[in-house]
Amino acid sequence: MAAIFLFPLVFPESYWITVFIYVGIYGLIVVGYDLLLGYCGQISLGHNALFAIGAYATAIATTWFGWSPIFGIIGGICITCLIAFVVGIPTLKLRGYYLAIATMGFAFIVEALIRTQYLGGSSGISGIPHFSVLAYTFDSDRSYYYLVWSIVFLAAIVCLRIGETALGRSMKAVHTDEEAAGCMGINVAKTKIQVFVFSAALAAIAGSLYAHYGTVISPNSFNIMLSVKLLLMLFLGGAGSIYGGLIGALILFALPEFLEHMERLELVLEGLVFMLILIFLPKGLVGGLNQMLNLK
Amino acid sequence: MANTHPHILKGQSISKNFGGLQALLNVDFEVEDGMIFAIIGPNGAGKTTLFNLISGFDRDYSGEFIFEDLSLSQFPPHDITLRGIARTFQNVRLFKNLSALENVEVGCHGWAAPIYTRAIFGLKSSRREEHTIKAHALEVLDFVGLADKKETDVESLSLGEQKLLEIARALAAKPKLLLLDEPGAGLNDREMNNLEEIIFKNKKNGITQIIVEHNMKFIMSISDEIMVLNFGTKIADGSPEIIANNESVIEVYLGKEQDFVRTE
Repeated sequence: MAAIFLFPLVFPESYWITVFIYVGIYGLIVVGYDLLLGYCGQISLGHNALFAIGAYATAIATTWFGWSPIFGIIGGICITCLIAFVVGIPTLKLRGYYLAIATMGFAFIVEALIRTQYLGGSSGISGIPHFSVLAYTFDSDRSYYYLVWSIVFLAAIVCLRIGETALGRSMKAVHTDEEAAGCMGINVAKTKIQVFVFSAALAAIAGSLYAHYGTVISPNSFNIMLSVKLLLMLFLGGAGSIYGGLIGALILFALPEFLEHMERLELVLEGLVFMLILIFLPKGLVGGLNQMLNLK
Repeated sequence: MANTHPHILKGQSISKNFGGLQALLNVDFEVEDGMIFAIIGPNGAGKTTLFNLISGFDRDYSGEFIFEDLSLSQFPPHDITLRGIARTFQNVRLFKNLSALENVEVGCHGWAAPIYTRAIFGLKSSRREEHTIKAHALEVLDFVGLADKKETDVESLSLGEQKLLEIARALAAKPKLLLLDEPGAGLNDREMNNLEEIIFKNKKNGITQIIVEHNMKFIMSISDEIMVLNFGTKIADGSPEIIANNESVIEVYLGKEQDFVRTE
């Protein structure tokens, strides 16, 4: 953790700062996604859409209506949560792959909508202002880095707290046996919708951070591959551990940078790493590491 | 002792049809507050089905359950648990991804439902609540004699211990009515004695218990009242003595008469 906060001081002006900002943004989604999938066992392939809604909401609010970014972000969170709530009620009644397919359907609808001319078409929305609070503008990479990672750590701590309390246990209970969980007094439908909306809020924050950092957004950044990558990050790092997803995000975004010169091999290597980890470390890197430490 | 609900649970002409198979037909029964009420009958008689209906697992039935003064027909399982009915399962259904203690803590959910805002912002109050839950869960684990297994993975517990843990998980909900679905199946003699002791302690604590069980000796020695089901209909009810001497019950258990001899 200290390493992450010292990093920009040791390597100022580094290209890696940009990489790490994106690691943080995607890590933020994964942290919430872990509560949904790792704890509660509900798979969503629609998180790219929630991320997109957060990004587009603040982009539209700030560029078209001249809102200040902070209100754009808050508006984005509200609208994303509302949409997640409405979408979640019918879809979360489904289980397993049915839920995956239904949420994917939602993602396709959102993707089709943001590709329409009304929302900027395939070139998206540009001229999004930098994030600013009161008089301070986060226009340098280093300031944005600290902003993003502060939010990530805050979110991770909150998620860990949720995971440790009765909320986390009720999610895990719903994960293993919905009917038995119901007989323990757990409102299964409510548990699922709450965690879905909560993870949507984090995806929306990540989306708006993404929009205000790049200042340009286009539909290509929000396609279904993003949801697939979320799955990769989560299982790579270890589902159900919260910070495992962050490590997964780090590997998935930092690895391609190392392999820059062998771009064609990128997907092959990613796929290979993913398969090997699932076969040999089904609990992810964090789970595997814990196991090794316990053996000693 | 003044008792506002002489009957804690009433079933009124309960019928359940599984696509043509009549699992239960016009079953009426009344369970007195504080008693040990047993349901017996051959396999497929509808005993577990009846439990599934009471606990709201399955809401597609006709007839009505009155718990205290309230009809249960409309409530989903979690609401029924909140109103004071907890159950165990015939095939153990523990949460395998949680430790023994955490399983019991989940059982506390009914009276300590968590709230997001408190988990996020209320550092102190949520820590206090976790503390209360944990203390209660430990107490219940100790009550069933599993205190030393609190950190254990549920899958490495013996079947007998898993059954006890299910009872602990149900008791953690502080129920008024406890439904035990074959608590004795797969238990050895020593575990059986322990189970009997727990059931009697529950009774002393004022918890009404409905027990489905195949072990006749066990049932005859612990029950206050027995209801006999056969192919979904009630064929007899009454005290163990009455049941043991009931002609149609003996007929159902043909050749098993000797089982009914009470051993004390």
